[in-house]
Amino acid sequence: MAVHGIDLGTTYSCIASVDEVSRPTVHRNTEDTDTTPSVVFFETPENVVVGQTAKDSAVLEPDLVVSRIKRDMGLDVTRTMHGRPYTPEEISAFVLRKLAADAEMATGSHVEDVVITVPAYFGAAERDATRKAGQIAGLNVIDIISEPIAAAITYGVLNPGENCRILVYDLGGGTFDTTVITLQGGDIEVVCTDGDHELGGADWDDRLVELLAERFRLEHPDVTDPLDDKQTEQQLRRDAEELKKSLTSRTKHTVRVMHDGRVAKAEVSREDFERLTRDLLDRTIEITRRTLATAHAKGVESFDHLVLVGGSSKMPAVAETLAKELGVQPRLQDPDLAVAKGAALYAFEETYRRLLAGGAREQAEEMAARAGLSSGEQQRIAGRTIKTVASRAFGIKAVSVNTRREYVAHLVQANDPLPADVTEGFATLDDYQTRVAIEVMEQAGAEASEAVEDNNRIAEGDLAIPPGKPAGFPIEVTFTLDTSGLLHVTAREHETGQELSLNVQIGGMTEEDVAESRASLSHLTVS
Amino acid sequence: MLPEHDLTSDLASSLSRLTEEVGREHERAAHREQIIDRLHAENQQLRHGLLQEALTPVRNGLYRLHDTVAREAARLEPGHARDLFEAIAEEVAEVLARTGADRIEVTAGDPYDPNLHRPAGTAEGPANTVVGVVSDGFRCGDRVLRKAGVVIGKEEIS
Repeated sequence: MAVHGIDLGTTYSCIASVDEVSRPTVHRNTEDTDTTPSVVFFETPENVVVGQTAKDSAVLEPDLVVSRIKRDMGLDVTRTMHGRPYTPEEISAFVLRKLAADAEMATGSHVEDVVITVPAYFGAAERDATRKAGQIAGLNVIDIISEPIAAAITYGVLNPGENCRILVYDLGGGTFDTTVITLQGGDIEVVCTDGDHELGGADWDDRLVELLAERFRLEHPDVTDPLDDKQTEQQLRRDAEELKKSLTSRTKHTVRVMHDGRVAKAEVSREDFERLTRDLLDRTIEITRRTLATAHAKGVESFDHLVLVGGSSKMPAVAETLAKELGVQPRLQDPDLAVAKGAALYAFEETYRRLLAGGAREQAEEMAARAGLSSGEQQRIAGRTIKTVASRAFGIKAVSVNTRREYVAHLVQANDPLPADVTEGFATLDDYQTRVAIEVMEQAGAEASEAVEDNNRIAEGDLAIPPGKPAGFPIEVTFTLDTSGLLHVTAREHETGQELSLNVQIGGMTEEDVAESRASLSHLTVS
Repeated sequence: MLPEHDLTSDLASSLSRLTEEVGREHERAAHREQIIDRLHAENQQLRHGLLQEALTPVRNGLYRLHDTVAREAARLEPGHARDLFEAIAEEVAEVLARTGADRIEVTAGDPYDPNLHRPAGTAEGPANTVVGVVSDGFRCGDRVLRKAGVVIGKEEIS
């Protein structure tokens, strides 16, 4: 049975696995494309449509179509369709089911064990929600890994044995992320991550559409606006996309904008395009520099490879500007599919390692043989581990004794190596307290801050205190954060051994809810 | 000289080792053969796919030309100019057909089929029925290359 890697993206998703000659291979969907729009259409109470057809259906039934659900992962929100509320986990599960079903159709083998990728900035809540989405889809999620790590694996595997520091620049359709990763002795470690989640290739397209419309307006001020006509607007979007593609290989291109019986000839040069979008590119450079500065503060003073990920990084200005600004020649290889492929490689290697660690040597060897791996390659995989860091700071809400000011005491800091296991002592504030409210907080913004409003509450619980204790009665709080970013919190007092155990529970979905969802949604057909 | 029974047992064990090894080699070769078969089949498909993919930008350009000319024809009053524009659109569809892209026949009144139709909007009319065609769709055998852009009927539109 093959293990699969899934890139569950904001706008597009993709599934891959390692084939018989140990190469990661992307499985096309039934519409014959490598990537599937992450769009879900609740056609009827019994049938859900995912992908391009769902995207098209937004025109007909906008209220029954959900897109960009990834942005809601980890939030306690639902969308009601045909009278049933659906959580973000459940909606994402439909996307995963479609990917799995199409991969089964393409390969003839059952999809069960998967690794799903998430952005490096995803916190405990979002990672947990992603894992649950996989479980609701009936998949066995063996791990959740960060997208830049997956991309680095795709590149890292190409240079085995090479110690290096990698900067991952990921410009997708609607998001931008930068991450610094080090690769040492085959170990991959995320050093730091940054980005802008409202910046992506779509912004470049928007500028071109506006430019084409403006050229038309200038020439024909006496007719209607081309952007007011739905058909012309759609045509302009397609033209902008073609124009962008064309300007990657040519230095200028002419688009004839036709609307309302008139035509305007718009000649656009590569320089025009670059001037028009310079501020967008500059914004990505600025964020990249900020990431490098953070990495520098953490001891990574330079980098060896610049890896470009995401379809929009194919624009020539991206590589040119990065090379000029950072002095390193960027590597561009399969930017759309690198994440899914890396996830597939990781899924394969991790399964192999777990089989070995669990004593199932025969099974591990059989798996390796099926992928045509030599014994040297097997040893290399067996010895490779992946270390990650916390994407955000985590702590609990505390009150200062003197000023009674509420603040967040962080136990785990952003970029602390994982797994992390931190214990800190606290104490009761008042005499004869009977309980202590434990509120688990996660850093909300880009920078950690102890101000309560800069943190999100992600879990809470009450720890009982033995009666009659004066203020200052000691309690102990332990944070355990595993490598996939899942958080477990324990609070205890030593006198009676009272203990409060909190598994970070997000969006209100408990393990029981997940099992119930999985059972109830399995009756729905996904096409 | 060794006693005869030792020689026989040595020979027997060597032979069984050899048999085992040949068996393993045979298995590996069979596995390789399977892969070669599959690669060969994929290669055949790929060669076809590559030809199709090389045609994609050409077809995209022709779709655009076809759409634009057909749209302009529809704007014109009946007359020679309109006939001329319509003829050009037809010619373009002919060229597309020669690349293997056949027009999907869609007419108002057809039931809406999400596999063939891309809804471009809605208008008053019988529900779930095509009430207008805004751009032609094209297919290559069973494969839909481009869905037809259609306007779908919605019964009460306030």
